[in-house]
Amino acid sequence: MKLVSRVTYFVLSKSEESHFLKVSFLNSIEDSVKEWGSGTRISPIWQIKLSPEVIEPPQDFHNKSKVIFIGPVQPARVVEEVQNLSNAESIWSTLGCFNLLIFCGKDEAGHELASDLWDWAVKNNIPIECWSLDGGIVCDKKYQNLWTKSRRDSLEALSSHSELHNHPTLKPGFQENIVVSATCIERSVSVHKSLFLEVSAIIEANSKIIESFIEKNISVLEMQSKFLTMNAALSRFSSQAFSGTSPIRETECHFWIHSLLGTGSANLALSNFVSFIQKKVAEARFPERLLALEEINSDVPCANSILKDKEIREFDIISQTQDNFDNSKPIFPLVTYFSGRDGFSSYVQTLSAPLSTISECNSYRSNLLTVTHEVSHIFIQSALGVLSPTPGQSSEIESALELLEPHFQARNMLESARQLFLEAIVSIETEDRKNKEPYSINELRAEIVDIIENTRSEAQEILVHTFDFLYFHSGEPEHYIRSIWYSWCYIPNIGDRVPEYLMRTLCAVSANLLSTDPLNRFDAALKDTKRILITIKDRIDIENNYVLKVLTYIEKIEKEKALFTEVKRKYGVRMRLVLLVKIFLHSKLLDAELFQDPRIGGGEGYKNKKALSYNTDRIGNPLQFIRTHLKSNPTEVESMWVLHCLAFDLSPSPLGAS
Amino acid sequence: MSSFSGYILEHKDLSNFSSDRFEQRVPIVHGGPALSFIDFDYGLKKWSKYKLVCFHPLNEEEKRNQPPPYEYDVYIIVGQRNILILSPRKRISEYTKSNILDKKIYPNIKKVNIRLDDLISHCSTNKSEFLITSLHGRFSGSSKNLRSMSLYGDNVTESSLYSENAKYFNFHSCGLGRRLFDGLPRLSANPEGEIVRIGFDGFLTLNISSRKDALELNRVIKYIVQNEWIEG
Repeated sequence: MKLVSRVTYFVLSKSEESHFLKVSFLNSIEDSVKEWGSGTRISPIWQIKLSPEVIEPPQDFHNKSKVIFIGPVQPARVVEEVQNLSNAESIWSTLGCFNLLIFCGKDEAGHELASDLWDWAVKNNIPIECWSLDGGIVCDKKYQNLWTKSRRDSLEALSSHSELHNHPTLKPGFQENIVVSATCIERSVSVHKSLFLEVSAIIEANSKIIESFIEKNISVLEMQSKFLTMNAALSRFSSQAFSGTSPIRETECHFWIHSLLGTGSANLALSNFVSFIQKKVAEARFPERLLALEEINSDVPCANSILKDKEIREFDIISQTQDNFDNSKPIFPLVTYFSGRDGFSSYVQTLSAPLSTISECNSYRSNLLTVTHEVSHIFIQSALGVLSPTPGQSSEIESALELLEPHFQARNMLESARQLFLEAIVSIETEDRKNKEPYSINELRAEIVDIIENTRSEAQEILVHTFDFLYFHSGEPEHYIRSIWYSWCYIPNIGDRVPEYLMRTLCAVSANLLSTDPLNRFDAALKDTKRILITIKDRIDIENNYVLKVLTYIEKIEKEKALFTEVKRKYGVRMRLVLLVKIFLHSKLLDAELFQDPRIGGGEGYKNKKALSYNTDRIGNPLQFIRTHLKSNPTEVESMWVLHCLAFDLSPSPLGAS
Repeated sequence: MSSFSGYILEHKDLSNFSSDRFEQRVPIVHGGPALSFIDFDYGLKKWSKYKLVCFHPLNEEEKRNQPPPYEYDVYIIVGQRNILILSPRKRISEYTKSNILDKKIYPNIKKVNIRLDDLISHCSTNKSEFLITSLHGRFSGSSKNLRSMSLYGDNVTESSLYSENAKYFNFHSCGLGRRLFDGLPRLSANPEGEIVRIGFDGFLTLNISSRKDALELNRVIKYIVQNEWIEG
């Protein structure tokens, strides 16, 4: 069964003469605008052909008696389990939670098929809605939601924090949080069990955060900020994922091109993908393992030897802290959503992908793999909670100053990691000083807080890029450089940041050069990065793009000796951050775990998953799967097919229930 | 000796699957394939032998300029919880499933996935009835310095190469041989060789020369089913 590439628009509007609801197929948005009314709603749909011989049916409603909406479900499953589906007038795929539209004819076979589909959906506990049609006019509607026992304990626990109902600052955010949580719970429970469990876990996590505020571990402003980001994320998630669910007429999606059926299956794909990555990395429990490094006090390297010693680079934090770390804290899920404004971004508990990802999730410029960068931010932030002193915490600042004393010998591996981080940020700041003179201990005492604040953003980005490169891009420079520079090229107004982005790129890929002579490292990284950038420059269809700009900048570095020396020095001090990731955050065990795939055969990728063809073969690793389907200019339907595979075929299900 | 390839399959309701359930004596469409029951083979009542007749070359007949129709032996073995389909070539088994069984039986009979890591790990223990005679896997860690590994031997999981490196590989197929004979181990290396090679997707490949070989395959499948290494 194969998807047809041409998009059709399924439109629901009110007939002017009769005020009845009318459905229609249109070939373009322009056609729909001609008769647009205030309540008109639309969704793109793509036809599925069960066999190559099937002739495309006429897109009118003379012979159609019913339209059936089913989902979320892998379309191939319906074909495998419902006999006589070939009697359908036409079958269509959508991006909504109801991801399958089936038109049944007026003849006996059509009525029988509609009845079989209804029985099958009810028996298998899959939501279904059926509209009876008369020449395109909707005469009757019936639906059957998912039957899952609603569990409101998490919601009740959340709303029971009476302190917040009367809190002068937090009351609006808190009450909004209760209402949006209640909406999410009740909508998810009728649509998808895994999403319902995920939403319940999110609400439970929120409740724990509020408890933490009540116990005065979180300030009012922090709590307010958490409410703001969480409410915005939940609101978008709910309105995107659960619009177009039963009763379809009553739930409108505000991503307007999908206003009729919503984007539920795309949201499910995003949640699955993010949850897969988050669980694998969160279960590694880097903050807890970093803390456990305090117990390792033999063979601790000194500040100088850690830069040179090749053996220390084989240190594996996971195998070294196998039994002595705290793994009792629950792992909180992330709220994921699509946003045109937020693009790819993350906060501690939320993650967004751009709206454009829905129509090109497998394009080089806007693919879902970019999410790995955002997820890396979340993990690096939590690692920095252990490695970096908190400004304002005098005891932590004092300890940091001790670690920065000349000739200080770290007593355990945790001190060694902290020392490496502090040396890195102080070196970065030293490079920016006019005289490039090292800080004296008194100067450090006076300026350490400023140094931490000034370098926070850049240090974090370099750590994130290196983490992302080593883990999610398998340490493959071609894949990594193409991925990040393609995506940067489609972000407006960042041309002035090209030198900064080049530095991040050079640092990240240099994780592969740590065993080479440090004197040649910069030259090698620059030369090879340039080579890879040249291979992609002609594939980017934007004039004067950032790849062309960075290539011009690289040529300038190569020509101007002073600039070359300056960039090389800056690169040199930032390599400490790369080392930090390689030694203390990178584990071969986690690497293998991340790409562990019980469904992959002997060759590259998934041979049985051919673009645009649905089948029930499962996918064991979404990172592998997306990567094998990346291309320059995928069509919308190819993107939808990838999203459907991520939504329905991942096994085991990352969200925990099927 | 005959070599066979096929799949472990599953169906929600195996209670009333008699041999005529699979038969398609008259093609559904003109020129389509037909499947007829011949007899039970290897003296085993569940080993139903069928004849597939089709106009599509599935064994490189076109290279030999052999004209259609083509005839192939297909075995369908219905167990208590699973079905096996075997034929001289993988293509023949796949063709029979998708062009006859999937058009006749609803819900369709489905391919299964095997929890290969669990199977391999259990077969590496001394109490296991079977042991691993071959392993094929792809490197799952970063770096492309190494892509894949294949190991062959009398008891592959006993090797230090396996125990030190297994965690870095996605194994996609393994061969099984017998470890215990009447519940007891043998003093020397396994003389019986490989019984069957199994893929993560339920793919099977094996040689059968006698009733004994067919019974051994039955025992391997029972062992996999009973230990719940088949994912529905």
